[in-house]
Amino acid sequence: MASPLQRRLKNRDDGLGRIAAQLSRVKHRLNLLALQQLAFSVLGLIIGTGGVLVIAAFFLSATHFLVLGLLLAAGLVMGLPIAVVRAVRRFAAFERAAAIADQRAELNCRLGTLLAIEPAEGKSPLWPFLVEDTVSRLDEFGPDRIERHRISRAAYGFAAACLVASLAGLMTYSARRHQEALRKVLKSLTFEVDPSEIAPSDNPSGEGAQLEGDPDTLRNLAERLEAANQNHQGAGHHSLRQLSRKAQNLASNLQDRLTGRDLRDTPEKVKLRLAQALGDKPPSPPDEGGSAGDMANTPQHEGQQSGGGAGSAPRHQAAPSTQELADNDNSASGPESGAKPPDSPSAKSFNPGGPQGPGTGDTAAPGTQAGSSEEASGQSAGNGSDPEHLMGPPDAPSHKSENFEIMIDARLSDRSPIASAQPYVPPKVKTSLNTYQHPDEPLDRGTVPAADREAVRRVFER
Amino acid sequence: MSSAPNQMPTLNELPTVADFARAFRRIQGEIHKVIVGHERAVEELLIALFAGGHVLIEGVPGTGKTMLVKALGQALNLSFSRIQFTVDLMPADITGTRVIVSGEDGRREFRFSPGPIFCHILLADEINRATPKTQSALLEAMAELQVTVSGTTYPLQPPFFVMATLNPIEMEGTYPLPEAQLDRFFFKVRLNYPEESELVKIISTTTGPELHKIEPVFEAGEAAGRIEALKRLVREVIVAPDIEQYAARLTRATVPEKSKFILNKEGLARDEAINRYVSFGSSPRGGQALMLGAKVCALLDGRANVSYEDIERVAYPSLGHRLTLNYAAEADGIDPAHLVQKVLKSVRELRGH
Repeated sequence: MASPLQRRLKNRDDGLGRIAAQLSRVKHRLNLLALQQLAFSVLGLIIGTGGVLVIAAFFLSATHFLVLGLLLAAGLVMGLPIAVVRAVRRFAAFERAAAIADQRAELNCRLGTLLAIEPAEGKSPLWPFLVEDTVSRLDEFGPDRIERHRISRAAYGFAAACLVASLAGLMTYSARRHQEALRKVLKSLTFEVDPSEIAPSDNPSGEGAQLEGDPDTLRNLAERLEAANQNHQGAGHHSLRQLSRKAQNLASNLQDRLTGRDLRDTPEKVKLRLAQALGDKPPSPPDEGGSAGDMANTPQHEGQQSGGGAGSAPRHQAAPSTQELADNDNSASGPESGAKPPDSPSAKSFNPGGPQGPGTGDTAAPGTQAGSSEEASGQSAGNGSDPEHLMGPPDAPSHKSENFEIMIDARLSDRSPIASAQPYVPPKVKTSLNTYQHPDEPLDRGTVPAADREAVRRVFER
Repeated sequence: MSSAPNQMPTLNELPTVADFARAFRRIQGEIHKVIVGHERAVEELLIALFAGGHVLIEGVPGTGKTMLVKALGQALNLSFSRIQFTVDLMPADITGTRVIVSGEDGRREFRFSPGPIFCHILLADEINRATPKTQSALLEAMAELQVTVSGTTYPLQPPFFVMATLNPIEMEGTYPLPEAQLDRFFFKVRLNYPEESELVKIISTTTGPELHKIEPVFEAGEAAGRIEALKRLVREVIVAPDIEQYAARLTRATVPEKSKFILNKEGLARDEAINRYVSFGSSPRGGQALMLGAKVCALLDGRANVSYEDIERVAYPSLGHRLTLNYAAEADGIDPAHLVQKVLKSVRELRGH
């Protein structure tokens, strides 16, 4: 937009018109640079911040990633308006272009004075001299002299941001490829996990854990977990910790998405299944009426699905360990944590103590005993296993229906900073002994010399 | 306006910018034939001359104050007087007085006998040794270019240029110039002690067999007219409104905020040093001196317009002696030049870009 002064001056054929035309070119150059600065700085900020965020997702823990994300977001929120304001301030009107040209070409306010005094032209006898003097310096304030750059220097920042973003993209692409390869390798694998090797997850939310059982047991478990949680944490900190946990979950999810570790949307999942460590009976044939649930996706689960048919004793012994895990973790509290409400269809569909259970437990009588009644299975479970009933059979079957099993829905992940195609399996190394070494062997029992027997006796008497 | 490069315009013609710069440089060159060093002081002296002001020269004895003034008079080819101010000097000794003279017919009558002030260039040597009454005799002459004696006003012939010298040492028995009189001096020029190389040159040039002679720049009969024409040209220099505002803001910035003579505090000093050390800031005469001095600087630089740099170039000689410092400044050894620099720094942000 040309100012009225600019239009008036440009239409003249004399020296003032030539000066105005030159100034217009300077103004256009300055404004073009300002526009570039606006675009480059805004885009550079956004792209650079995104790139840094993605790269940080690969190297930082969820908490650190969350903190960095918040800092970057705050920086972006503050930096964008500053960048915009700085760029907008560089836009030059006609008068400002004259002031800049005066300064950079060392014209000592000739142009500024001309523009300011122009309406009062002719009042000073020195006016023609000023115009002629300025016209003679037209070359000194050409656009190339005033601003030799055609590309804004903000382009360097933009290029750097693009570089960071490219690096981030490359890392994401590489990580996704690695995850794909890993998933293909492990697609048909099922791991059997000894319950004694299960440790609480790093993820405090306990995501992925799923408890299934009959509604009464689950309700009971949920209430006890709730009570245990309330004992551990004050009411005032509850909401704050929940908020913190949600934020961490959010950061973790975002981190997984950015790094390509998020495989939840993929149909293939490798399931870890608790081996029957204490029962140690081979898995029974699949229970068609049991809770197929998520397990139905993998064929291995169909073979290992023991449903409610697993004996009540191992199942009953698994319950305290689950509770212990939940207590340590402060997760799985209430219905949010995966313990399904009693009315949940999946929970109802799986009732180990119900009539559908085939009853393959050790303590229960095969076929007839298991599945005949909840009472029977509860009694058999109590004998010799529940510390409350060590002194004899209980008066009333208080925990007769606390039968459930844990199914751990684990997702594939490779948390190592350098992605590798195969998961690392530590080799078994057996080093042979050298000549000075002897294998560990129990010492032979020797006889005490007769002279020392009295002394040895006194020592041991003392 | 149009004249050949090396030819001065006629008296009725306005000289060009180039004429001005040429005349200025020639006078400067002639003075420096006998004055070694003091380039800045000589330039400021000439700026004040062409701006139509008067100059107060401060310097220790022997730094060439009197020599400088005499050299200027010779170069300009104008009438020159020197008054040595002493404690018993009376105003009439400066302005002149009425004396009884006998006519041809034997009748006696009072006739005005002009004093030394009736000249073009007046050197008031050691002005602070005279009483304030005598010092004040100069006031009317300096401000209005006229002298009133016994109710009769006698105009002075332009150009009238007063150069007063101040001896900063031997303050015993002196009468410091009152602020009102200080304010009437356009610039205060300081003659510093010469550097070693300058002193060597002074010694060699003044003790040899041949002394340099100053050639007058103007012809005897037309020197006054030429100088007046150049002074008119100075006033024609174009000033943008932004620069006028800058000069005004600079002048106001020397006034401390606590001054009870200022109602609207907007644009006053934001520098703490001014508020702490200055009792009274510059008068509006300081702003006038800034602008006129800047105009001369612009012409010297071959321009017909004033720039910010011109204003800053004459800021110290214009404003320095107009700042009345308090005891805190004296105790802390604060120099007016330091305060002017502070003011310049604080007001510089006004320069539009």
